[in-house]
Amino acid sequence: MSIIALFSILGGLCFLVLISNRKITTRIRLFLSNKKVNCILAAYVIILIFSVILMYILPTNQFTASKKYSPHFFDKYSDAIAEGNLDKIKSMHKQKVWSYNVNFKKLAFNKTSYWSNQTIFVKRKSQNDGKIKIVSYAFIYSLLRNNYYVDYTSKAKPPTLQLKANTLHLAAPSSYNVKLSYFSNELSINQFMKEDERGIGFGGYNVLVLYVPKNMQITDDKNVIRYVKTDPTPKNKEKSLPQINVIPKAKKITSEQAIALVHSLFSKTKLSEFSGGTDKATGYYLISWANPGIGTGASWYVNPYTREVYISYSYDKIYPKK
Amino acid sequence: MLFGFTIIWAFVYSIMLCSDKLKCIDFSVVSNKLSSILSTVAFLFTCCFIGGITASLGSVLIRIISYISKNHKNIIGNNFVISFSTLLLICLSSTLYILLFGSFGYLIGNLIELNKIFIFLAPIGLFTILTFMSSNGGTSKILYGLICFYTKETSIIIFLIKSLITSVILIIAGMFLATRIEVQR
Repeated sequence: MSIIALFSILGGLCFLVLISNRKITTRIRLFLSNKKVNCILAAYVIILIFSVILMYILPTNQFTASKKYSPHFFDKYSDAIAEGNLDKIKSMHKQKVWSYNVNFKKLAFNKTSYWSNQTIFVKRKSQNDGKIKIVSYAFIYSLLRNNYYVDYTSKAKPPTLQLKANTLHLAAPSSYNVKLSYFSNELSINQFMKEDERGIGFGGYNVLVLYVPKNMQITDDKNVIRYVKTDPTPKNKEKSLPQINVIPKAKKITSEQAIALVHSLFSKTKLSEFSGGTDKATGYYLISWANPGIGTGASWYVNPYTREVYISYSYDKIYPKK
Repeated sequence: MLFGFTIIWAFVYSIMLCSDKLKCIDFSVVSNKLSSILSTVAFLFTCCFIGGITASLGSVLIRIISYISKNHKNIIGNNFVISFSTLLLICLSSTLYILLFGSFGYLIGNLIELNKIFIFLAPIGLFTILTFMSSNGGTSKILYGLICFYTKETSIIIFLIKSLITSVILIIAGMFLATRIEVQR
């Protein structure tokens, strides 16, 4: 498209140069008589009308199919990952399987290239067979535009894994090129259409499932992995938010006070970056912090009576400190 | 892109229509100044109408060229086929936008004919407006509101009324200036 634009600009400039020269203009006038101009115009109009007819009769079944998705389309996938219920996801694509014989009891992770969206699930085998099996899955690797997406999951490449000593080195999947053409609504009617015209976006998830021997310890000291869920996960299952006991004489704090309390625990943040309200399921105030532009965030639960603050993902109490 | 270029063409061509060279063309067939101005306006309307239709149908031609020249598997099917009602809507809205710019160009063209200083002032004014548009200061709020008056209108009927009234006002102002040029001479 950019080549067409370049040629059209160059063509326009050449035309301007040509018409600014009187001799050339006179020659063009002699060459292009009124009849010829009329013929060219008529031919152009016929081509335009013919192209409209063609548009309606040409077969379009070979075009890349795109599916419609709802605004919360990706939520079910991210929720399934967060809950560790991979069984819920039907359209998983198995990319690659790695198998290693190991003689250590502690597995660590290291990330060798920038990779923001990696999730690892660890499943314990019932016996100590000295083997680690790793399976890479991809799902809904897709190109998004307006309310439609094109699925490229089968083309997604697996990450690169290397097991050195007792550390698993992870490198991001290599990129791949996709050439696609799409047609936008005309600029002049965008304002009358119900659907907003939006740009192209990309989405997709990659999950590694590690099958480890029964007694293998998993450590992520460098915090390189977004999420590790071990199966079974006694630590996570035991922990939960303590139930709220309504203390009659104690004054219930407001959500604004809860926000101010959480904000006071983190001196480098701005109060405006915090938001929150009552969590209906637990009765706690759920306060979240998002750092716009950087993409980081966190959330906490605040007990409205005791003012205790808990980290949302681990339920660890951070205020008041023991 | 096609629509954008057509808008530029309509704007430049309507300025050129007011120039002395083109004004003299109709002297052999038009009896007086008023009919000359009216014929120019009618010609401008016709040009904008043809420009709007061809620019709209040109986008269909681009689709057909893409269909022929590209691998079908590399084309996303959505929006390839424009429904007939949408095509009519594109033709109408494009024509109205082109007419809006054409009538604005007609006013500028007559201003330039009235006083040659506008040859410099008009581009400077436009450049200043574009600079204010790109800045996010409070000065651009009026201009932004003016642009939104047309571009954020979601009803085609109201847009039709708005753009036609504006075009008529601009053309009447241009015609008034054109008659003043005659008095000056």
